[in-house]
Amino acid sequence: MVGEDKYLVVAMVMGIIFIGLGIYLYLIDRKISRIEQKQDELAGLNKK
Amino acid sequence: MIKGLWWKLTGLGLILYSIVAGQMIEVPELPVIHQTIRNLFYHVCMWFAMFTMFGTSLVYSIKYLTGNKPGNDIMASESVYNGIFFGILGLITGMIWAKFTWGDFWTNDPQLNGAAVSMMAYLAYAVLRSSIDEKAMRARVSAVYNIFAFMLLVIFLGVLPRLADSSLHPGKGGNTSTMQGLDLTMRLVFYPAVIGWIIVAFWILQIRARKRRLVQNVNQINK
Repeated sequence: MVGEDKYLVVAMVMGIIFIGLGIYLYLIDRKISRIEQKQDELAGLNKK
Repeated sequence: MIKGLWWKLTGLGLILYSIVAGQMIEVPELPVIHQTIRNLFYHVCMWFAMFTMFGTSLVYSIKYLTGNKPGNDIMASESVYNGIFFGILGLITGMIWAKFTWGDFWTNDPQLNGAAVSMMAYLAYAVLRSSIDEKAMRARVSAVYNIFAFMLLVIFLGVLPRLADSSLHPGKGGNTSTMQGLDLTMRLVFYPAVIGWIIVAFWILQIRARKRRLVQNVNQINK
């Protein structure tokens, strides 16, 4: 039982770290999308 | 590039599942490796992701050489950098595993030495790129070098360890393959983990390439 608890703790710690990394990736992705959108808008304005 | 969020969430979900299930499932009691076999779900996946990235960079390098489109050069180089990242993670997870099973972080094993040489070949790619200032020349030279680097990777990681007389790695030097020893429960974690890491590797690649394009656009505007 003690051994199983240890595995659970390891799984939880690794899971939390990975969820953090996933959120970080998502936020960067969203930020880049916003900048791309702005850049497209500026390029459109310059063409006009 | 694939648009939408569904495939990114699928990748994250598969990895999260493999992290939790990888620790919770019952694994076969094997001599020497014992419970460290669980590292298979993390260590081997890094190599799969790395191979996929280097394979992607090969495809984009060939595409660049045939079409001279700068976008293909960005994808090729970013795939290499991403592959190096996963390769380093593979080396670290492998070294930790080796310490607990073979008693040392690094042993004189053909697979380990092959991995080190392959990584150096790709690190040389990064050095080569940074040493050429002219954009088109840099893209062309590095694309040609990338094709040779991939051949080295296949030889040093795929061919030579299998031809070696002895190896500590499964499936190499006459040892039986790990895949033959994997039971169904482990396969149900291992395959999703591999797919998940490959998907996340492509996501990171997409982010890196988009960022490079943005930086290039800003530089062009500033000129």
